Amino acid sequence: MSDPIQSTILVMSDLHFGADFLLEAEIDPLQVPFWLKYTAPKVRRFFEDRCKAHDMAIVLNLPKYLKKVLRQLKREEFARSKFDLLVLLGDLATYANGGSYSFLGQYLSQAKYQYASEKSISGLKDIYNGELIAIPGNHDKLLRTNLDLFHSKFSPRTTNGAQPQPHKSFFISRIVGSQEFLFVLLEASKYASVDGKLDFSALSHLASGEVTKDLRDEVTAKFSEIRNGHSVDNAQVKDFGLAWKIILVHYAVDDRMVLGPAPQPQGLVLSHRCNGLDSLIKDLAPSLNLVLHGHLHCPRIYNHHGVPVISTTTTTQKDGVNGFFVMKLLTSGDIVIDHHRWNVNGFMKDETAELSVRIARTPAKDSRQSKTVSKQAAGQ
Amino acid sequence: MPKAIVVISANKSVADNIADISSKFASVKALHITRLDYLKAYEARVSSEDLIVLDASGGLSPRELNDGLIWAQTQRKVFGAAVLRIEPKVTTPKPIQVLSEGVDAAYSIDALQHSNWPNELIGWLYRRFHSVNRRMGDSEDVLRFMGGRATSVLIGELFGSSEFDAKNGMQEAQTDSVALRKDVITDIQFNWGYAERILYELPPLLWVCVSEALASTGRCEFEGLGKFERSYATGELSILFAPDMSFANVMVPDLSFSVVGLLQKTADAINISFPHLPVTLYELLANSNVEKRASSTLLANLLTQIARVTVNTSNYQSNQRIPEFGEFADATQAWIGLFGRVAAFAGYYVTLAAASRSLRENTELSIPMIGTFSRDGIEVAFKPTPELLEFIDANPLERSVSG
Repeated sequence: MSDPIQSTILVMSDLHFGADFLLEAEIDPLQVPFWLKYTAPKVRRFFEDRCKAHDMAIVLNLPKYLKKVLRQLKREEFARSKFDLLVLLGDLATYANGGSYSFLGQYLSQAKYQYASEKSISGLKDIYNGELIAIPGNHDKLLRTNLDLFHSKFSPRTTNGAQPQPHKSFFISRIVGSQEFLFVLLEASKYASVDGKLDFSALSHLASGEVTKDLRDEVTAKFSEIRNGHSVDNAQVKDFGLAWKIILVHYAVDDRMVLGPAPQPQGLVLSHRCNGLDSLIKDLAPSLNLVLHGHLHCPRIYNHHGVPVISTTTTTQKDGVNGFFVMKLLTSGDIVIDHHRWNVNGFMKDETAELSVRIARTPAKDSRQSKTVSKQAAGQ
Repeated sequence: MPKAIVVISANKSVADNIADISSKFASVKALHITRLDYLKAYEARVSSEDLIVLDASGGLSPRELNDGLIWAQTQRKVFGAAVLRIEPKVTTPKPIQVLSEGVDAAYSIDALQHSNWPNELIGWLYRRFHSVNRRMGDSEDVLRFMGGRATSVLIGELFGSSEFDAKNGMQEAQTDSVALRKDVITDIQFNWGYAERILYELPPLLWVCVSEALASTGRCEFEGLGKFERSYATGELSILFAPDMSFANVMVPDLSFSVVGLLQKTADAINISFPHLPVTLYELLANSNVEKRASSTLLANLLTQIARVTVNTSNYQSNQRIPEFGEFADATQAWIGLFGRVAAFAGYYVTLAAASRSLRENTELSIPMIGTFSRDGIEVAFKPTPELLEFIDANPLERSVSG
């Protein structure tokens, strides 16, 4: 039975943009003092291993590859020439600074990004229809006490504006195609106590997050309001049961499901966990259809108490396992998800079966229910 | 612009020796002159890049030698050509004899048998890069990208290799000076690691630029590699490839390019790589016995040689402090940026030389996501991957081929 694509969502994470196109710094000399390496070895390794900026080759290639993806979608009878929505799941810059967000903002919003006199590269303007939902990640507040820079320099370009604030959530609803969506943006980062200070307390806030009791209560209460037909933040849904309810969070719901049960190098460097997130998702499972996260630089699709969870890898980071997901919303209400990955000199469709799935839309009920993640290839 | 070696010699083995070396260079031609009355025909061709080798080891009469020397000295004075003299066999060979006026160097005939002789010759040919009016075109963009990447890699490597001599932990570290090791970039071990990364991390920028240019403008040309052009002549998309002579024939490419758009410091920095770069490329391409890892070893040696000059010419302080590191914000000015750019410049040509050599040895060279180069005799063909064709086909030209 034909089940045409009604709309499409492009999901990327961990872009790790540097200060400008030609500055794909491995260690940002302006941000990281030289004595850093003599601090705690774990902190040093974090900066060496996880703080590389964007890869110029990928940034150069991405817009035109996405046009190729759109052409393929057209062959699959997707009627429009752009993605309906772009979702970014945090770590948009490696070091939060004005240059990085200016570069990324222009790259996302312009057809051309001029990196030098009379020299430009393609941007993403013609790739999506202007709807951009973005959340910050731990790098977007690295060594900072708040998200002021992120929200002042980058958030104005997003549909969600300067939201969410630290330790807060923000609900936003959109009609994508003819499908109603509720996006729950979670900001679960931990922050430095003093701006720019790198001391041993950094071990606790550089890479890990936490869903505090206040945040948990806030999200639960907002869900209740929405379910009862009320307006919350920038969200109101007509049919809570049929709407796709998606949590966007930078941190992983379950590290072990993404990286495997054995201790991982990332964990040995610094904790990348987000305490309380797993139990929040478990409790919200009856109301949720999907969770999207980044952070661990590893693409995975897994279930957490019946909720499908998509772990998005880095999209443009140097030496990363780079890739992105395309969500195809079918007329039936189901979603087919494809993964595309970087392969040395270009992107390609990822043929890994576990990363190409169809997720059935299951109407929400107050009671807990399971949702299926079928490991079938992208065929509708 | 081609360089010429005018060999004035009655000794065929001398001429053959020099012709053999010059055959490894796309832009060097050796001209063997046996009769001095032919010399006038070459006067107009001699330039500052050229070399005149006067063979005084035997076979030419004293009068012929004298006439030859006078002619060579005139070319040297008027056009700036270098003049080398080959001396007769001596019992105690010395690489450089006492020079007579108007001669840049003298070598014993024995020197021609030494392994270092080709390097000596190349050194005289490539004293500086020759700036001509030809734009590097697409190569310029690639070199710009590679310069950025090589500099980033350098910063990462410096960070990883730096040392600290503070005595009392982090608190003191914040106030003490933390020095780059005095000679870190001139350390061959440092450059082994740096060269490995350069050769691994620069090529994707080249190949992505190939696909990007074919999708954007429909054609591109890269020095030392060749021209690519998209074509629908057969009704379906195909990629035409015309290899650069150096890539097809495993030769050192023409290293001439325009300095238009380059800062003087950058041009000067690139000049530092001469004649080390062409010597390295020659060793990589001419020596069939070099190991598989030769390109990184040779590049490491090259970078070490370049670094020594860079350090000496860039007001480099041995105890460069943290704030100085920050000056790299202007990548075109700081010594790190300059060294990075030269490393990228060298890395670009070493990458292509290694690719050319690999194609000669294996007859096929596959570039993931891009295509396969194959050699059939002296012909080099390119077959694009389906992924590349689809990538190009999905992107209508942004401007006309002529534009």
